Amino acid sequence: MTDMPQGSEQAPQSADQSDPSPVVSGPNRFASDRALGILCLALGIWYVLETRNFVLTAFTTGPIGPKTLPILLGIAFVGLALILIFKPDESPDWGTFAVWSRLAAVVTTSFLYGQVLQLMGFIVASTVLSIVIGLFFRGPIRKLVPLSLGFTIAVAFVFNNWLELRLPPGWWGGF
Amino acid sequence: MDFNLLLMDFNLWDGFVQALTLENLILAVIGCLLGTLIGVLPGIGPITGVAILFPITLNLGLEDASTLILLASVYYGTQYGGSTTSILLNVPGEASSVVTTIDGYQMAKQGRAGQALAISAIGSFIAGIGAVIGLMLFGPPLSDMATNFQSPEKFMVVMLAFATVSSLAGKSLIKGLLAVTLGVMLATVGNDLQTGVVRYTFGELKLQEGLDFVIIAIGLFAVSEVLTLLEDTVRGENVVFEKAERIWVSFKEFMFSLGAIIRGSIVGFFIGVLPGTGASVAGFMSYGLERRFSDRDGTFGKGDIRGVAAPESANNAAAGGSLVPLFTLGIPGSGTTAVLLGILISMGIRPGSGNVFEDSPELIWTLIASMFIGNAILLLLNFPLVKVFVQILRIPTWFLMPVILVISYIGVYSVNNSSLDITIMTIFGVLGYFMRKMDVPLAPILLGLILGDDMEQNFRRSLLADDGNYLTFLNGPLNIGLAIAVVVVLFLPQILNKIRGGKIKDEFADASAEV
Repeated sequence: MTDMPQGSEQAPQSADQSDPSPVVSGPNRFASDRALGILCLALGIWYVLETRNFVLTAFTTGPIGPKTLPILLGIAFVGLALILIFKPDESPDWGTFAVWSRLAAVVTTSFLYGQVLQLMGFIVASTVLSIVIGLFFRGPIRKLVPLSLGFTIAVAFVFNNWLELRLPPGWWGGF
Repeated sequence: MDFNLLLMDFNLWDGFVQALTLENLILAVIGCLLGTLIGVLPGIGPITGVAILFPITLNLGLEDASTLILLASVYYGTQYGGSTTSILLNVPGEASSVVTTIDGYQMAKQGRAGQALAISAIGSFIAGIGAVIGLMLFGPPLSDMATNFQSPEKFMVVMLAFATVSSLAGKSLIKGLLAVTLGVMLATVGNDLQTGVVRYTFGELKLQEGLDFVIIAIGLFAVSEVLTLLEDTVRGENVVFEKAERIWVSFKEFMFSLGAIIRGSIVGFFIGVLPGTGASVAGFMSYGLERRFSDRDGTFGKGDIRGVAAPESANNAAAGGSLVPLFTLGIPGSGTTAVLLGILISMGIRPGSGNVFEDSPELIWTLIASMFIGNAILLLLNFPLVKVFVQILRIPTWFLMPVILVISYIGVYSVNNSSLDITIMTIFGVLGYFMRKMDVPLAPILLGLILGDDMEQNFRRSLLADDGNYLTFLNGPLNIGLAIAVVVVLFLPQILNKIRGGKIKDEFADASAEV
């Protein structure tokens, strides 16, 4: 549900005629799809080459084995990637630094959450995660702190008592 | 066609008896409520809802039938809820309700939101009931047919599903195909089922069992949705509420819309039955057809009640219709039914390999009965509770998003008590975000991942049985027919699109970006 109808409607014309004055943005307007294509190309090649590292067992005799489909898939993937490189679509609007810094921060927080969940325990880790994510969504801190804490305690209660789902207790032995 | 449904060992009647136990009834109500709420929330789609709730339901210790009743209720609840925000806010709660905004929001602006909401609920109800009847009629005979399929046919049916989902979900065929191939590639991670050979695990023991589809689904859909909404928040996009005073339609208006409801239901059901096409495509198709059929005074797009009735009936009928290929061939019609298939497989039920109507009759007929009940519950809930559901939109995004993330993470964590799963989910969340940005559809990845194992097993079995002869996949009229269908599905939309100047494809793409 993106909101850029004008750009996308005009895009195909300029793409087909390789118009020197593109509607959307500079000469690199296909760069995103090309980059994606190159990435997929590399992934496809690696995927095929990796089949050489499969340790085959006694069951794997005959022409059709565990390598067959991966090799075919990899080849198809490489072919599709090449088409994408040579017939790319217009790049999307990648947004500003403000967007990117927030996205990066949210992703980093999520990764860290996975790392510290067992150490810190569910309530502490999730409350912190909830507050940090809420701040990036421009939430007011004085409301976020009590709401986040209340929410995680409620979840912990429901999960531990009603769903019998053992949440990580953390080093302090709580939840 | 099998008209002896009531003579089977376990039939619809027994299904009703099972589904009407207090526990199952409560679960259906809870599922409908949760589904409607999830449907009302823009950005949080049915796939996310079902995927997040599944690992949690595993811990409830429910019977398989009860778990399915709960999750299926959530599924069709989302179809009802999605239309509410389309009408009141001009923001579709689900991709399948995108088209409802056209006339629905216009009606709301004219102060006719109540009528739009009412006809949407009534249309959804009629369509939902019609679809379940369709499922009962077409399900058992199709299942019978599918049990005769050999490996090559099974392989080709999977290819057809891949072709439809790649072709229709998203703006670019190439990106759709890349996505579905990536999904199958992800399915090859872990121990090879036939030989035990370890593939693509990077030496990580936990990866040997393969990637869990729930983790991938929640990452791809839920986490990436949060990231996309974060971007919208930073860009400062806002919506305007319209109010609904009284939710009711007059008998005259109902009769005026009845034709649209019936046409929408029929179109929707058959589109839903096509493997790989979901409720969103059905909504768009039926709206287009209805406009062509009945828009004599040019009122469509300006608040015509039939412009709400047709797509709203169609998307519900399609949701029911997509259960036909799911239960008979094991081919999900949409991202959400792909998740449902994953859930069925994890319960040891493998539609397509056997006849679920004969192998697991209790489960299937209880589920079907619960759909009748669920639709009735939804109709009853919607009239008095729409205003309450809309209140959930007052929960600020800054609180809702952390809540969704925490529930997603804990759901995923609970599957294996593993932090690695949380990391994998985050990685797929980031991947999903980039894919959304670049118009790479997500549903094909999930479909590839879920059907990948099956595809490979049938692929290898077929070739082994025929000494590695690849022509085995074109052996016999059924296989040739399926192969032709694959080619037509892949290229016909492209050709039609070229002829009509790009309009159809864009409509489809917007509709089915999140099938």
